[in-house]
Amino acid sequence: MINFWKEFRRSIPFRAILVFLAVLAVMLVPARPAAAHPLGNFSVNQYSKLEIDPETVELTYVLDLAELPTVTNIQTFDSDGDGSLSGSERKQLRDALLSEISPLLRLQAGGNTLPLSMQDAELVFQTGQANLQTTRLTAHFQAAIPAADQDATISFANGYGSDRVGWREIVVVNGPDVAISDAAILAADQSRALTFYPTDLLSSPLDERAISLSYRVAPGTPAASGNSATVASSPFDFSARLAEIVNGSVTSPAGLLIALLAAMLWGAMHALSPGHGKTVVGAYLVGSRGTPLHALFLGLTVTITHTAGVVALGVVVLLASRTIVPELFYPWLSLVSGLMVVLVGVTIMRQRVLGLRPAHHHTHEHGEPRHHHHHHGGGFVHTHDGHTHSHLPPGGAGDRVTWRNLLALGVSGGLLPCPSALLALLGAVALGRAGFGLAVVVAFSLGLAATLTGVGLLFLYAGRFLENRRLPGMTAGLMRFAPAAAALAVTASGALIVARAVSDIW
Amino acid sequence: MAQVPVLSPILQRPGTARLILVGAAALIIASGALNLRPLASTLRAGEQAAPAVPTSDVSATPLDRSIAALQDALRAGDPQTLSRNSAQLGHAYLQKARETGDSSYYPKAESLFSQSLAGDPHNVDSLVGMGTLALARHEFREARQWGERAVQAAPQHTAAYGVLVDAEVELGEYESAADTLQKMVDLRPDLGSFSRISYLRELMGDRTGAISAMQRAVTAGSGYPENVAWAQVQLGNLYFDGGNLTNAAEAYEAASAAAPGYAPAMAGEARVLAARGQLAAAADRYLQVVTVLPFPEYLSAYGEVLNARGDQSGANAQFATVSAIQQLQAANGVNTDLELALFAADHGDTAAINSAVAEAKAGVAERPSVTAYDALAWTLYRAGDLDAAAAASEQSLELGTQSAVMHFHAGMIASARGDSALAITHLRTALALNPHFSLRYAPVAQAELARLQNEAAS
Repeated sequence: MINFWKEFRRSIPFRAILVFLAVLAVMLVPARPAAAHPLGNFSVNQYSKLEIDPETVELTYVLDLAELPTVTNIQTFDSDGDGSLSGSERKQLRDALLSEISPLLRLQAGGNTLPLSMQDAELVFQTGQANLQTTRLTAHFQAAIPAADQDATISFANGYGSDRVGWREIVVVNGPDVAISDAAILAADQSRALTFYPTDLLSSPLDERAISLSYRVAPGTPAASGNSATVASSPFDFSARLAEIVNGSVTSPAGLLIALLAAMLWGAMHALSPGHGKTVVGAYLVGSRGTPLHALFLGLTVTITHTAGVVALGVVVLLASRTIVPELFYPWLSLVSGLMVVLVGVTIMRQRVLGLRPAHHHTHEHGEPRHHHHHHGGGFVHTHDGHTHSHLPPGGAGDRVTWRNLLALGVSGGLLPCPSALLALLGAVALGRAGFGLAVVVAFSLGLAATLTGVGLLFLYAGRFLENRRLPGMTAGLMRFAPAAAALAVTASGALIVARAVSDIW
Repeated sequence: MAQVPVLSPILQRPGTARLILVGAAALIIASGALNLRPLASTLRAGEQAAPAVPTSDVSATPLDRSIAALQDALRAGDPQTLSRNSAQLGHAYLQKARETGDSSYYPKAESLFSQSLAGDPHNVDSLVGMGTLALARHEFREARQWGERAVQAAPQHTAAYGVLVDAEVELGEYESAADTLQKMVDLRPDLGSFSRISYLRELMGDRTGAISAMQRAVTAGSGYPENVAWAQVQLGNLYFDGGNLTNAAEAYEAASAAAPGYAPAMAGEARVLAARGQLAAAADRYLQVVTVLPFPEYLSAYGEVLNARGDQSGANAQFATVSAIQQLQAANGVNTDLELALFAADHGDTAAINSAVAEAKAGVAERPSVTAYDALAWTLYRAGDLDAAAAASEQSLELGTQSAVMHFHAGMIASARGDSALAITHLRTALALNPHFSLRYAPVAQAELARLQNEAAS
């Protein structure tokens, strides 16, 4: 490992990584919170979520006021003239807003208006553009559905701010034992309770002002999961969780630490979703004489590449999205990533199958006394302290792990920035918390890397476990081809990524 | 169709005139500058499937329908129509932004135009779109380049000339601007060309000619009611600036009828109400306007009305919002807004006035128009630099623009410099042009004129 590290430190790729990171660091420091409020500095954005239970309807209402209406409100309610709102002034503003809004939220069941009773309400200010504040009001209401109107039609309309610019979203979820007749109505929570505003080119801002649905009590129907960011959302909805972390609800040091750990966990789980090169990593290490340190190095490479990639794309998005559409990067990054994987695959295939790699001898290459590698030009048997045994898997590969291959795999695994990590970073920057956003991305990438490293280790230890077992002849025979098959799998995965990227580009 | 002269015959003389943007740019500038720095165009993470189950109670306009159709067409991803559809959707977004003031459409439109130009570098609609956005960002040299490219790509396309005209006049290329405008109106005498002619005539001091051109712009019409309403508001402004409140009110009402809820029309109505002394009604109207479109000019006008009614804290809330806009623009790197410089000169402390001078100077460097010189003159006057103020004021009036505000500024500057005769002339002109030119300053003009005349008599 020591030699390996020395060799690597002298290498051009390593220096390139250092320079790249340095450049990123420089770019990130002066990065001003340039992201403006998605729908403009005077938008009035609203979100209503209805949760239908057999006998009650719960309404979560969120109001997100951009900078300018917030300034006007602060000026209007700042009775002591100190330029900011004290606790009681803020309460007055909250109540004034609610008294304006509540009468305009209309819930009906079976044609009868249901009175909404407010459970709680909270108003917070968040830092927006130019260090100005934005307002976020969250209120929970409840309404009982009279027995006569159960199993009926429920309608909801929001008449507040009807002439304002802004995002208007209505989300419906069913509670336990409730079935909504029109499944399509359970549409996704697009803004995640106004924490993200999708702004892709082909979508207009949501303008949902009213909704009508019929429901029936159906015991045994599971409650809807996910979709919400104000009530607990599914822990598997990674981007929603990340959104919560960066949107400012977490502030205490312990909370931040937990948030970072959570980001790491989500990164780890995210890596389990398809397309993160788990197979490739495993397949590579299966056939090669990988060690835990190799797996660790691989993980580190993934972390650095992924963090750098997310930050770089984030910088591009913040500074240059006027001329560059970030979506355009994705297929290209995929292409590069795929080509790298193919390259690695072809290299190890040559080594393993064709035996083109010249035989050589090296001892303690990786600083591990257990491994005496005697390469016999693609032979599958080697000697340990005088006795011959089959390696992992039986008759294991003869090629050594090269940092080039590892680096290539690590980079290809981390090259494609995960959109949720990117969005988390952008969200944090928009809230003026770029540093924390970066920390979240690093934690996320570490988690990602941990999974890939873990997969690598799993393969290694599984291999060692098998190594010590006598396998039936047939299996042993099949296992003989495992390294070659693994190399083929690596190549094929790479080819698949390339093909997908190419079809996206053209 | 007979040729329409750009300038009324008597005014067809060369000059170093510049004029500020006409046409759609009005709204774009105000709202676009607020929030043109783009947002992360979000990544296509697969969550954008249109849900469309809940409903908006606002019935879809033809524009909404064509936006939806173009979005669908682009989602289908036919490479043959990609370039054209992107350009059209970009323009539909620009129109939507004009109608709603929702600036989130601008970065999207820009990305669509880039996408379209990537597929077809000569797509004239996209070239025009890029030019329009450059104008809104005050990048006039870029805008001229876009305009030139557009004219080259489609010499028969009037909108291409429109971008070029706007950029040329901003850059002080007055003669070529008039030539370009002549070509434009010869190609097609439409709302776009007539409204630009009107503006040019207004700056040349030909209010009658300007009014008749704007009337023809209204008559020429447009597929979008908002465009007609915009021209009617401009017509109302021309009447108002000439002191004709009755005709102004009529034009604003016509605009409101053409596009119900159109904020600039409501602002015009509020202005007339305030000029007629109906301050309570004016305040109500302005409140409606600023809730929908909190633009600096509306906010400060509303603040003046509240001030005149004795509601100091209400006025301060509006003025604070204007300052916040200035902060937002500064954060976005925009420091050349003339409207905001004037506001700071009138409402700020010494430091704010000095930075207003800097902002106005930068504005003049960027767009040496008579309006910019007027803003510079007033900020210099407020900063106490009277000689420089007088020079700038002279330049602002060199076209003979018949503007009460400009003459008021010139009068106050002359008075401060001790040139009573010149001051009296300017102040008289200002009050004769429009005795209601400003809720705050018309009384100042009257008082100053009276004082000077008394002095002269004694």
